[in-house]
Amino acid sequence: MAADAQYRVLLRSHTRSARAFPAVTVAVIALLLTLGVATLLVWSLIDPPVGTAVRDRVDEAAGRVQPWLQITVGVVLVLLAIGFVVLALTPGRRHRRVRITERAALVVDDAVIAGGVADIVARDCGLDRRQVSAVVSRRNVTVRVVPTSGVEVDRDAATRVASDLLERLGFPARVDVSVEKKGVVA
Amino acid sequence: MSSGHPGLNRGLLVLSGATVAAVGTALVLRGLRPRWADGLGQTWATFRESTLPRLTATTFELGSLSLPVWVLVSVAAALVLLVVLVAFLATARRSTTTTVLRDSTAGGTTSVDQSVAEALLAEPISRESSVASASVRVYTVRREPALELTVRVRRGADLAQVIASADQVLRDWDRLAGTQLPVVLRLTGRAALPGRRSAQRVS
Repeated sequence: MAADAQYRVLLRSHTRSARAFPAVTVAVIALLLTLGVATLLVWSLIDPPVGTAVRDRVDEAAGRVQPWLQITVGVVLVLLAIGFVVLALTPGRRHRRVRITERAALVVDDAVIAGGVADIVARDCGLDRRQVSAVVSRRNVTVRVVPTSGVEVDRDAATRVASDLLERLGFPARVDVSVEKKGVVA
Repeated sequence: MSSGHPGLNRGLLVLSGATVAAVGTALVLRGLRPRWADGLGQTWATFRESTLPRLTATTFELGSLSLPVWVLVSVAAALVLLVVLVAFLATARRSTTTTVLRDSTAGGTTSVDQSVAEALLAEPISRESSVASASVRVYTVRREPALELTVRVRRGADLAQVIASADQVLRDWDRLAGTQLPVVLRLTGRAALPGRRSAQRVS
């Protein structure tokens, strides 16, 4: 269906980086360089001695450049090139979860899910929000709890309440709750 | 959000990477001058001293003007490259529109502006206590409009409640619009776009 195809295009842009910024940067630099070269070429057509003068200057400068500088610039360019290729070939996964609901395509930042999980665990365990932190990774959610000194934290209950939230949101994942050995004073 | 076509973006990065790698490698070899590259150096020297002068000597006679062919070809190639790059940059942004719906009948054309979608979608959502701000964007995907409703949630927000509220608002919109447009509901914690701010301030 047409709507499914539209959703696929929309969600792809939300889950994978399109690498627009580096591509546009490269395109702008290439545009400026091409403009410069084209201007010089046209100028040399109108005024031939200009072309010869530029060529002589470039040859002279190239001859004067020290080998160590050529090697350094060359290595920097090769590293830059490797960076471009890595950017092009790696998927560039965005830290978001997506699913299709009955009405819309839902895209939620991992940080928002992590915040929601930490909130509900803190509330359920009777802890200050600052004592709970959560990290959402590709396949699981890791929750770190710093208990109040002298008060035991029910790890299973925390795991349950976090899993329930993820199920309700439609993003089920394995939940790993770790409770620090050292607590904080209430 | 700008995105353009991911395939083109990545293709450009690979091409430019290959070009920059070639230039960088040539510079490194020129600086190091390793023995095994002597053959390459000889080939380049032969090209510069015999082949290149012959190529650059060819001219194109235009009336009284004698124009070097290599310059004409290079200018033509540069112009083609410029057109390609400008076209690429022009399409780099995702296509947006301000018209959400357009209905043409015998009696006339009715169009619904993005501001209407803002008022009917973003505003009701931004009134929720869990929501810091909400905004609507209209994109064209495969020449059809699609909506993106971005909701910035506050810390401590009940996410399931926000999603349920957004769902209700979308159903109300569908009833009013008389059609179901594809919608992306995005929940974020960061200030993504300036949008409708919630009237409530939570300390």
